[in-house]
Amino acid sequence: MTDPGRDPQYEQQVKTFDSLVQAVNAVLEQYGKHDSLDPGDYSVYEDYWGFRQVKVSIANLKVLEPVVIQRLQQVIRTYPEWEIVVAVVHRPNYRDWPEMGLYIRPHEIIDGLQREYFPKEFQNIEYEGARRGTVND
Amino acid sequence: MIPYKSPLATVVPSRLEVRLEIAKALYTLLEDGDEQLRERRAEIASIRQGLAEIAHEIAKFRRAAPAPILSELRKYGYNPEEPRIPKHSTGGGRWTDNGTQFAASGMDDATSILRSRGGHHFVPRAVYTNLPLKPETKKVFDDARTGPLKGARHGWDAEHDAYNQAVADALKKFLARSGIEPQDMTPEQALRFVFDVIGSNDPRIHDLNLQLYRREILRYITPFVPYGPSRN
Repeated sequence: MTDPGRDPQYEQQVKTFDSLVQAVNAVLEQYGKHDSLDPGDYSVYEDYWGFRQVKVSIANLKVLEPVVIQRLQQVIRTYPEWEIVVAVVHRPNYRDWPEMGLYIRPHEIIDGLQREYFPKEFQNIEYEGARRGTVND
Repeated sequence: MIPYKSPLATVVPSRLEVRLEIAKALYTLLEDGDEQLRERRAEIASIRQGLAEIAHEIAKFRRAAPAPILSELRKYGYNPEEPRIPKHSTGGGRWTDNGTQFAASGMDDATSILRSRGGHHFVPRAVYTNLPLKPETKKVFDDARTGPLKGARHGWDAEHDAYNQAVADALKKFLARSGIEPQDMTPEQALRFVFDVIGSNDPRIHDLNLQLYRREILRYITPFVPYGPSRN
């Protein structure tokens, strides 16, 4: 079994991943509080799983505001071939809401939000240039 | 009344020369049969020997095959000697007493879980990054990871979030149970906590770790199969 950790291409991907995580955190910390020992508004998953993605879990819908997503798309535009996966989570009863979220890519946003579950003030959130899609897009 | 006369009597030749000819013919046929029988027996013996060789090879493979698989699993903290709940009980197969397992395994085995290179952190960085831990304690959490993973696409599931919350809850309980503050935590205590996480029965923790192991094993077996969000 080849150890991907000893593959220079993989090492480069890890470096890019770490840099992207830092950039995503830099944006999100302006709009909410990161999880710590106590729950916050969002969490950035900081382990590279071998796929060109950074995953963010958002528990506070305020962090889903279009301005935040727009800023994240600006970040990802400097990382071609990478994407940010935003999962919207309902704590602590995760199963009360179906799996939903966004894929933020340099050229598009895939919108898989199921707004009917949101409180009224968040049901009209729209993202410029987004298209509706599924988790498999 | 006409007496009964067996029809068989009529087919047996009455002349001795004819009977002798028939006997010779039967003997010849039997000899041919014996020859064919010998040939069949030789074939069967040869097939049996071939099967025995195959069975031997299979047995050899079965003895040898688990070694590389176990070696891979050990990288992720799997210990086949670890006590488990009996197969047919509730929660069968799950790890039971982490503390006992940790104590029994010894420090050499325990530290084999520490790998500074890549993969999933058993204790997520989000949970401990902002805690005032000693550098050597923080290093244990930094290094307690699976090792590089070979690629799976993230979806919109909440498993990571649930995992982080569960580990944070577990760490708070661990600190309270040990009567310590984060800044007092020793590397040994950190390692013990890592093993608590690895052996956790909390489904939020257990399921994600198990999913990772399964997927890595599948990747090992089927290296070219793509794994997307719906196939995690």
